[in-house]
Amino acid sequence: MNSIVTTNIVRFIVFVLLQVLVFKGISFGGEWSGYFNLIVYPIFIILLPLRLPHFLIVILGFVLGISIDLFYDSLGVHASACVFLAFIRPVILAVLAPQGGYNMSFSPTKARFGNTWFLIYSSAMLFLHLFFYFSVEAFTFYHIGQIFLKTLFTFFISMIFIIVYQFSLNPLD
Amino acid sequence: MRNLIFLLVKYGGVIFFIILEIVCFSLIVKNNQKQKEIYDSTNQRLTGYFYNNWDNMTHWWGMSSVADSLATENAHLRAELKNAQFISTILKDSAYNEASRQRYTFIQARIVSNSVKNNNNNLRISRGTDHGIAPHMGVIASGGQGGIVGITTATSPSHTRVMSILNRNSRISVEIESNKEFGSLVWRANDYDKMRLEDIPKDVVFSVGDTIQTSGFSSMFPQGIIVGTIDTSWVESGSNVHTIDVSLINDLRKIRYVYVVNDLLKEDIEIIEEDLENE
Repeated sequence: MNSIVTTNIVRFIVFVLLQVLVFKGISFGGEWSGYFNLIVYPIFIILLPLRLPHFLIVILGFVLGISIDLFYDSLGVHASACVFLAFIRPVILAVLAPQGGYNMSFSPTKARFGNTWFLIYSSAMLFLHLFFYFSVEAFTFYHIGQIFLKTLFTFFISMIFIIVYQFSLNPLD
Repeated sequence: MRNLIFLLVKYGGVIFFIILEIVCFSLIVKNNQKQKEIYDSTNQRLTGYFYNNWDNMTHWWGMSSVADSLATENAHLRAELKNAQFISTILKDSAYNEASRQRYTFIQARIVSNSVKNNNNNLRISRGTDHGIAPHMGVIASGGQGGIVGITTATSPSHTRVMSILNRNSRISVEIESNKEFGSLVWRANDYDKMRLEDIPKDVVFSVGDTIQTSGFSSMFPQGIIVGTIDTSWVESGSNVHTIDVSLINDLRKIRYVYVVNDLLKEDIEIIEEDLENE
């Protein structure tokens, strides 16, 4: 029990710091650099324990988003995406539920539920997060094509990091 | 208590989702320049559209078009007036070279919504960026003896929001016509026909009924537009400035047509202001 709490607190701090100190500064793609963002902090919401009540996940999402926003100087933009992601998480989990349902004492990690399941689950979550984030960032659907491109490019490079993280450290919780 | 926890676990996610998204979006609109502009513009477009249609329903069709054309003509005539010119007359040796060029132009507009009852009143007018209106332009009354209305704040292509002078955030630079002493005109959120003139030193002499006009120190209003007359004045104990109540010359409840003041030399003035900031 306590180890899960500690793991998640550490994960929160590490990923916020990684995001704002390292990934925020990485830029490539030249004049297309606006399309290539490394956004990996949603992994915190993705990996929260399954038995955590929904409302707590939403609140934690808000706290995570606001922490990121403080450093990105974009108060509310990341937070709204995180709150949305936290809200939609049970829906994604319900759609992807394995036969016989989930063991509620687990966290949705690769180690617990296998490679394929984790890849589908984390891709769906990250994609939804990024699409919502870039929509709020643009604040209009006038440039919907641009929003899609940004989401796609950012999705692929961020997904690489999430895969590397899960496969190298392979955390149980 | 048990029921409360049960409800929280069952519906807490939805409740917190709605509350926190509202919080997020108000933070976004408040703190991010780009999103704020898009929000303001959309808001202006929608409310402008609504008010415009409402106004058309309640307005006589023929009357409004006749008045529109008259107002346009007046705007041109107003630009011909002396206080709309920038006098560049210079004395060189004994040669006298008189020259003036256009400083202000006026864009006529119709008010589609107005209020005088709140603490911070705003108006909407049926002209926008398509007609050359930008934020921070002065708005003056048309017809009657004149008077000023407010300052533009947010614009969309077809409509503009104007901060009324009957707004607590409004400060207009004005002067007393007889002795050219200048001060700020503010509103105390009481009467829609009274405003307060501040910052006139105690030793300045003036009399009740003196005319108050714009000072021309900002690029929003030309110099010499009549604002109102001095109603009452007193000196607060311990203060070294007069407290002056001013009766406005125009009735802001009844106003229908306005002119937006476009200062052609605004950029010139902003250049030297920027220099001041750099120093």
